[in-house]
Amino acid sequence: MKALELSAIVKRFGGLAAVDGVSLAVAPGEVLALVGENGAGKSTLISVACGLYQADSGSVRAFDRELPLGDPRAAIDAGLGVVYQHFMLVGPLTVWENVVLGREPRRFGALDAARARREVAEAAQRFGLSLEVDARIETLGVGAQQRVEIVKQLWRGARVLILADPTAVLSPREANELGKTVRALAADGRAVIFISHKLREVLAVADRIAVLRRGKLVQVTPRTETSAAQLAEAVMGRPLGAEPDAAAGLGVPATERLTLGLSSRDDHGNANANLSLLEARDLACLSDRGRPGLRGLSFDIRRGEVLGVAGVDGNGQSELAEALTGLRRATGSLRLGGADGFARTPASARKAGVVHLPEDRHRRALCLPLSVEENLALGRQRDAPYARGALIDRDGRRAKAHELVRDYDVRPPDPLARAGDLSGGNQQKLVAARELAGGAPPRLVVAVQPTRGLDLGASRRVHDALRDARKQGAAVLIISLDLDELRAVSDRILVLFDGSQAGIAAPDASDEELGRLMLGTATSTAHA
Amino acid sequence: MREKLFAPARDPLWSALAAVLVSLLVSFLAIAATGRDPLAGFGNLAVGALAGPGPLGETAIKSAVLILTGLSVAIAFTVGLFNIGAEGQLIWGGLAAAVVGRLDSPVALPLALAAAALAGGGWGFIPGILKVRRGVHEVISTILLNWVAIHLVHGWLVAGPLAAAGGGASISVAGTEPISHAAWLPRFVTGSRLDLGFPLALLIAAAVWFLLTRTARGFEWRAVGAGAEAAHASGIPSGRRVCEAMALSGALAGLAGALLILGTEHKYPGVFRTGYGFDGIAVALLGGGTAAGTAVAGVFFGAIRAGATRLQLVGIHPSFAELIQGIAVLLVAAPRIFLPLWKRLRA
Repeated sequence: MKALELSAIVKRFGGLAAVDGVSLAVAPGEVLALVGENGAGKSTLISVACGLYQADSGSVRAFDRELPLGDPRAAIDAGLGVVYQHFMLVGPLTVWENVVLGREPRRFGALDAARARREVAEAAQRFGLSLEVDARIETLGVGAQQRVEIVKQLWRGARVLILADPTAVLSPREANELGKTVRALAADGRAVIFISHKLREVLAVADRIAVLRRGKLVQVTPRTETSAAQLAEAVMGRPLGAEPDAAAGLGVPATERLTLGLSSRDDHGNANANLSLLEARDLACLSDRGRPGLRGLSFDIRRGEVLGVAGVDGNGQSELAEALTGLRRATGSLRLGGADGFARTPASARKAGVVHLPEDRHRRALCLPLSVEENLALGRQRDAPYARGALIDRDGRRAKAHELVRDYDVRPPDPLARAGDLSGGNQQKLVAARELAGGAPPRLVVAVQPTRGLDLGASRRVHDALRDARKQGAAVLIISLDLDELRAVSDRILVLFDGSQAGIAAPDASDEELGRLMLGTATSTAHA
Repeated sequence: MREKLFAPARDPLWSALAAVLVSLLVSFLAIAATGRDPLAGFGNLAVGALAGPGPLGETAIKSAVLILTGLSVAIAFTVGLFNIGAEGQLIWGGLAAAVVGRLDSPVALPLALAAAALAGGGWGFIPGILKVRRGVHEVISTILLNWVAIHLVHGWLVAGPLAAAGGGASISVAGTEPISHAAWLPRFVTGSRLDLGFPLALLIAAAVWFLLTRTARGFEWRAVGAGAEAAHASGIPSGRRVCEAMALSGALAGLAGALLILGTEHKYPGVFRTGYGFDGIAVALLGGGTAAGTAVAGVFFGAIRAGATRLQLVGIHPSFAELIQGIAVLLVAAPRIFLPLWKRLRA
């Protein structure tokens, strides 16, 4: 008997199959890991299993009973419990109150607090989950909150537990503890599906490992018959060691990179060649979750150099970008052209010549209700040609907007269009135009996922603009999850792991080499 | 919901006009439903608002106050805040004008206006700084501050330390000492109470329009309201901008209070619950949050308020005017709340 059996699941969004004919089963007492890149279909598959999405075809069976598709209630009743990456807990309530919330045991119509408390404590103890049942949620750390979520599912009788990227928010020690819990759950006869990016963890915890790529199931192998290298190859869909095709998905021929390499050597031929424009020393800061985001990161970027930053998402990339642009306070030292303190506030960073292509352009880069020309002026609203003194220079702003919109091929080429009405690609072109060409040439460019969601033409346009900035002597930092993109545009690649430097790689580094650094399995090979 | 309410409408002019027409129609039917003569009712409304210098003067006086409280709310919208505190800011402005207006000096009038702007502005600054420093929601703080103002001013200052000598016994003379003639808003037309307030309010509306659409500072305010995080990331000191806008918002409400005191009351009366501060929300909503729209909406509501006094002649309660006002606002606000919801349900 299988605890959960998915057969030939297909789920399309628009014309695109997010999950394309996947069949997968997990038995009681088994831990099945699900790995794959972002967008490979892992979470869609899980959402189909637990009834949040209705599959276009295929069937879901739990303990030999067919579940109605798209019915979350039925999935819960059949014993499926999901622990999401974002916890669904009420901060001011206690642990036991959160666990029973919505299904409170009653006695004469009133909440039976004593029984609820006792049952929650028993459920936690049974699986060795250390929890103080009377503590308020908001006083607990992330790891403890996750244990509350697990206990919640167990108390509700979940026999198939699905953990969605559970270690992304945990410290290595907590992740280790979680691994033990997962094994204990399996030993108790429950089925566990464990979704993760971290191959090392998966190999330590899972019985079998399933790899998804672009919505298709690539392979399912017992832990003992695979390795990190083999899994990485399956995840990326490319034999390791083969020359990566830099043009893939980017429209940047590999030869172009070589040309860039040569020109960079020319730049370095002059007297300023080896001067670092940006010097970062011992950067440390906390993340939004109050965990260490950066832990003592040091690196340099020279004039006219592109430093790529690689790493699994959540290893300090956002914090690094924010620290450089004045959006997050970090300890340690940051010097731009020898001057200290440029990153104190967003205004001081901007004044010092730092420009930012942020990851979340809707929130961080654009005022969506305002017009294209107003968004192009944002940040320079008091400078020529956007303003004359304290007044807006309407003609100057309009003329500059026409120029930028034309040069960056923003469509529609209408300075009065509402920024929120533009497509994602055109919004990003708008941001790139403003940041890279809207004013004085930048000295430091911080670009985070600059081409995510962009088509080939738009990607090329953004990459060209970054190259122009570099040619004009800017230091460029590009953070991306796309290794091909990093290889195509970087002079060196800094790999982040857990908030510090795992190593520096050359732009021709193989997937395997970068992958090992990204997963923290290699000691650093070189220093900046 | 605040974001939905004050999202710039794609066609603010048409939706406002349609709302006004429908609200008039509904009121017409409502009068008919109560068995009164709607034609006579509307006739009286028009006479009370428009027939001759007297009624026009009343319309102008009320419009001026509503334009200022409407602009007060509209400016707070600009930085993304919902200022429900115009009433309290108006009260402080009125009191400051009444106190400074007792100076018998040629500059009493400008001084009284300045004092009113300062007092209202200070009261408006408080919710701004509370929002920026402590994250206190402005809707909560402005509502609470309204009550603080009402009780401090009406329950204590005007009844106690600032009360006119010997005035306590009779309600008709309760309130502060009268202001000096030098501080009266000058009137222009015999047989009409039209005073400097109306042209002043129009001038201020023009200035607000200029500030919001033509200056870098106004652009920064709008950027903060349209995307606080993007504005912050672009280097705009968004917290400071919010406080500035809230102070100006309060200053305009304070000036509205001054117009009432310096133009018609000529002292701070013992009982002074105007509701103009709250009506400012309706004016700004109907006006689409723009300066020009707010001025037009202010005149419309001012005329209805002025004309409503004559509705009693045909046996209709003057509060009937509030029905027209309420329906118009509902029609403007409702689509912004329900359309997105409707779209989501259909998706």
